[in-house]
Amino acid sequence: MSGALAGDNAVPFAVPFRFMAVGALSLAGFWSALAFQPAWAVAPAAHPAVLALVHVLTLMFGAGVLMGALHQLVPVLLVAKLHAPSWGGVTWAAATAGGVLIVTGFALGSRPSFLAVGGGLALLATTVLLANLALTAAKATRIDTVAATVLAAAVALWLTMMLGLLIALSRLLPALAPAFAAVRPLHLTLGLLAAFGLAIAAAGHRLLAMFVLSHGAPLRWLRLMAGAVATAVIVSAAAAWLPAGVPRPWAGPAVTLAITVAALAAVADVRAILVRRMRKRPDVAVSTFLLGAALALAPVVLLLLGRPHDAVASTLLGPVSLAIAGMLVKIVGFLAWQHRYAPQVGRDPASAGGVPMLADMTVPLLGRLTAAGLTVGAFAVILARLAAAAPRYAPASATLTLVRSGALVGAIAAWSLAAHLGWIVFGRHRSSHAVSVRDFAGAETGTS
Amino acid sequence: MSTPTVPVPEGIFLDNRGLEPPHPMVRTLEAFERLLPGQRLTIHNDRVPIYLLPQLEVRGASFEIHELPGGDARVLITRGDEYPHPSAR
Repeated sequence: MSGALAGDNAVPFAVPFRFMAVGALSLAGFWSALAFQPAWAVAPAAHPAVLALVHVLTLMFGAGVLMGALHQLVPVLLVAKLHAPSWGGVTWAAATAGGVLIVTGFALGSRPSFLAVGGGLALLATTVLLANLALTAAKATRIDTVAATVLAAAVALWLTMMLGLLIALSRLLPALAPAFAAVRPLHLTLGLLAAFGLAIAAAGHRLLAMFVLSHGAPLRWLRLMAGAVATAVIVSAAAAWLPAGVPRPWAGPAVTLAITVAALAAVADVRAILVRRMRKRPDVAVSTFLLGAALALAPVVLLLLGRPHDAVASTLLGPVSLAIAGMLVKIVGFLAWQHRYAPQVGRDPASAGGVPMLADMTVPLLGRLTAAGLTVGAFAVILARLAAAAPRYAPASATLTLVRSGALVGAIAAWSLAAHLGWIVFGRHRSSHAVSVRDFAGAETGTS
Repeated sequence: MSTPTVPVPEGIFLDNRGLEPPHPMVRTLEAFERLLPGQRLTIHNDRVPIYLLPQLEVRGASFEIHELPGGDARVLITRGDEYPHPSAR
């Protein structure tokens, strides 16, 4: 047994699940709030209520789920045990408290003290996480492209939190404002592209291949995507820190080009995995992830049309939400199975007919509701935003009705996801094997 | 972890490649429970079965992991003497 794998420090199920539970409830909260206040979907991006809503989606749903998944995923990719599973509790507590403070701070009209304390807690959470992952990586015998990309996403998440804190501090101490005024686009680029984009693409590369039984997909598309994302971040950073007054006409087109290349490479990577798959009909969770991947080009079109805020909104509501929702079901399903049923396999006489498998733990109807509802909600919000930009053609009342209807569907979808995860973790599942696992194993068992 | 020599299967051999999780783990643990103390089981998986290892540790098994080129892994599992066989429980 290798040293990196020795010792009893497996990651308890509660460590990632706490993040994922809060994340799923946050997604449901986001869509429910939008159904009650549809005007927020078309309000200016700097409006405090919009910022509150955006941070529910980015910080408490996206970043929360990502932090939880990293606790499990990185040890698997590095083939090394997590350095300190117990640190996961500190990370979760700081991230959740920080997220609640930030969202509350914005909801109360951008209260600087709330934002600064919340930002500090969020940074503390990602610092503990990054230290945990770095110490885990130090024990690994090798770090391949997928693992390196996931670790880069974790670093990007930390940098996003750091910039968020700097922005919050500049609200608290106006003297700092000129120095950090230009970092908002970088905060966005890092969080959306580098943290979420790289993590989803890299984790998706490994998990999608695992769940559709695909082997031998090349890594060149993932490498190209990572390179394009790095280019976008570097250009955004250069634009942010150039002295005021220096023209930056190259920055926007360069970032747009890099994002376009990154999105195309991400789609090409998914295609390369799918053409090699042995499992022809993916289940509903994998289909949800694939739907998200298919929508990855929509934000690029909006960006090329000169609609950057709509591109951001469509990225969060489309590819990011769908990819995370799909993978949540697969990840939580597998971890719950590992926690509840793996100890029974072969040992418990009651399991002689076969313990429940992943398919027995999921409810396809809830999965389909989630995928369809999140897609409908995303399209409704984006269409409404585009309509609001052309009020001559679309009256405000119709726009708000469209948002409210879409948000209601989105809320049903998000609550379905939360209910689905609840059933997966706490439900009473029954095995539905036509052939027992014992027979299945015996059929291909040989002796030498 | 040793690389890249491919161990010769001893005792029972399971080819778990091309199976969706958690089937490889189920097959392995089912087969493991039928081993006698000291008997060996060799599995060939698409990747290092990191989630299987805690289950083996709990069941008193010792194991050696051999990573192969391309990401495959062979694991040699030996049943310990102290863990009771199901027929004895």
